[in-house]
Amino acid sequence: MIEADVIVVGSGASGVQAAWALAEAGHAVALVDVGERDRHYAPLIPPLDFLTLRRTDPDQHRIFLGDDFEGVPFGPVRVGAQLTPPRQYLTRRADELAPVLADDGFAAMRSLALGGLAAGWGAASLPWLDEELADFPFGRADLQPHYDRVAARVGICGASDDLLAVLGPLDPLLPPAPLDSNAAAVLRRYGRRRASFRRRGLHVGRARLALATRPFRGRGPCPLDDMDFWADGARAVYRPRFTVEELEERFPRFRYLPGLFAETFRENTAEQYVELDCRALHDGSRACLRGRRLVLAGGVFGTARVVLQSLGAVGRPRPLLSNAYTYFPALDLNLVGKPVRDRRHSLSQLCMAYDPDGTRRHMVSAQLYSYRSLLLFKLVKESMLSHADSIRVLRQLSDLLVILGVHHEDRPEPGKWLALRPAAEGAVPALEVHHQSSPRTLARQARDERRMRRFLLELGCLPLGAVRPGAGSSIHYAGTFPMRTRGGPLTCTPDGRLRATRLVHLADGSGFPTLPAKGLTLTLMANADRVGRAVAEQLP
Amino acid sequence: MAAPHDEFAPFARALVGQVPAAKFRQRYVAGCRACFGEPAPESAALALARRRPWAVTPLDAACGILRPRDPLRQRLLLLTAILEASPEYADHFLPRRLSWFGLLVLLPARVALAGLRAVVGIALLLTVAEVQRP
Repeated sequence: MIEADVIVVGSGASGVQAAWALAEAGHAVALVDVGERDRHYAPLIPPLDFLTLRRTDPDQHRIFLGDDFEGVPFGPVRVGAQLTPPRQYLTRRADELAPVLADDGFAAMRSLALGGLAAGWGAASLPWLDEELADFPFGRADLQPHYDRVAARVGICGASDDLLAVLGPLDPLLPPAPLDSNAAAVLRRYGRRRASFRRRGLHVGRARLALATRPFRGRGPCPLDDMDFWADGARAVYRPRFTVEELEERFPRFRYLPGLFAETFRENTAEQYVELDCRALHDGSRACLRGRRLVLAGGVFGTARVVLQSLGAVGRPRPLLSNAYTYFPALDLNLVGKPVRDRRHSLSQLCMAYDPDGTRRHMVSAQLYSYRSLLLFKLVKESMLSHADSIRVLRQLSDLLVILGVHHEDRPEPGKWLALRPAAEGAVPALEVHHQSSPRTLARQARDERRMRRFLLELGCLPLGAVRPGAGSSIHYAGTFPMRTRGGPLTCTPDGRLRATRLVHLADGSGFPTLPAKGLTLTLMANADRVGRAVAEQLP
Repeated sequence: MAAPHDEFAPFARALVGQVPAAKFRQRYVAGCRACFGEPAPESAALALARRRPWAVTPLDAACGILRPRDPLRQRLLLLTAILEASPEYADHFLPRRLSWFGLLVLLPARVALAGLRAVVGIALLLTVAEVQRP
């Protein structure tokens, strides 16, 4: 039996921040994790920028295509195209250990890796406003100190520009990363008609990213090598494993326990402890951990599985939220005939926030990327021309090619739910997932996308179409056990305690009652810090 | 894997205008085995492209319109990826600066030419289908 003051499940963005808050308060923390890692590809990637690597490295095919050619996509556009061969360990073993059934094609991406899905995260860090937190039992002022603490730990770069009005302040803020040529041209164009865009609800500014643009806690500065989809150069992009490493260094009472798959918990309320049953993956044996509190942060699907199985709530549907996601490939005509800047990062360059009705409650958020480091053959595959012609045409256009990824907010609706399916004895139970938006929601999204396309055109970018990879493709999930001031046993209190329990808290997106469009990772971390601190205060 | 071995040279010539070194052939054969299994799926377009190297690009263009998942398209995608991910052929794939003249004149001309190739390819595909009809 392993004992700790608090057991935290999951080493993703939420889990490590909750663990930090608890360890910092002096508690003994055990962080339980499957902890898949990439030990294969990372050592193969030389510390070179994209262009130099492309022109010199004879073994680059192992990185870009994978040793089993797993990086060459033959089917339709799929979710997680950013999961390049060096990142595919993120989803390893998830289908085997935590199966999900999604008949309507919902993409339920799960990670059992050290760092969870944030190990391959795009690093966009956008705080939510009071209006976006209207259905939460707390507001921005309550969350602000946690945003600031997280910003001080992970390092967020950005500028005090037009986005300030729709993001609010964040302190500290690292200097912004240099813009690539496409983004600089678009931002200049926006600047020329700024008043008009703002009057119509569009705010454009430099992306706020969890990116060390100067030396920061042993990381960075960002090498601007355009290899961010393949490697963690200079550790500039924040990954939760950096926090695990810091926790192990700074807090002797913190223990990271990889190789354990959390299954169920049971409480002893008389003696005030909770036990977590796990499967040891190296030999299949059982392991049991005992703590005074349990903090679940294994991601929405992982947490739902543990909670529903532990409470015997098989077959009980729970709400499920996921931002709808559409991306617009476009040609940046501002750059025709102009040289482009080669030194760049591959992450989002600009952030756009569109407030359609002026209330800030139903904002649309978009990130602008330049396309280069994911290689041309993935674009060639989508072309109707012959491969030879596609190569010739697309290489001429690729410097101009930008991708605008648009996220919509999500709210609970009857067609959006998950439930744990009953399983035969000894079988692994599967989560059944459905996510169908109502016609009204779809109509609103279509209207907002039309406006975003029009804005793109006004910013000098010619949209080439719209790609909708399907429900779940944002890889943002939330809402299964929502936090409310009052609610039933399968809801959470404002401090994240699952009401059906006395000692179990949820620190991931499971507790978010709605999902604003801006991307949730920064708020996941801030909320996990908040929940961790609340739990720490409850312990003697 | 005799077929991938044999088709490598005409397919590579269609893509980059030359036959690459032997290591690329080995990589392509290994890729076909890993991605498509053995025996790999066949199609009339693929068989014809192997027999008539001049027809590779028109048949590819025709399949791009009519049969995007045809084995011919998949083989060419694999070879494109292999060639792109190599220092020898990187410059065939890296971006080139585009002028307004290129965008408004040369590029549309290239696309129009690609369209003509597709028309030829569609005629070839239909002929093959007609010949194969019992």
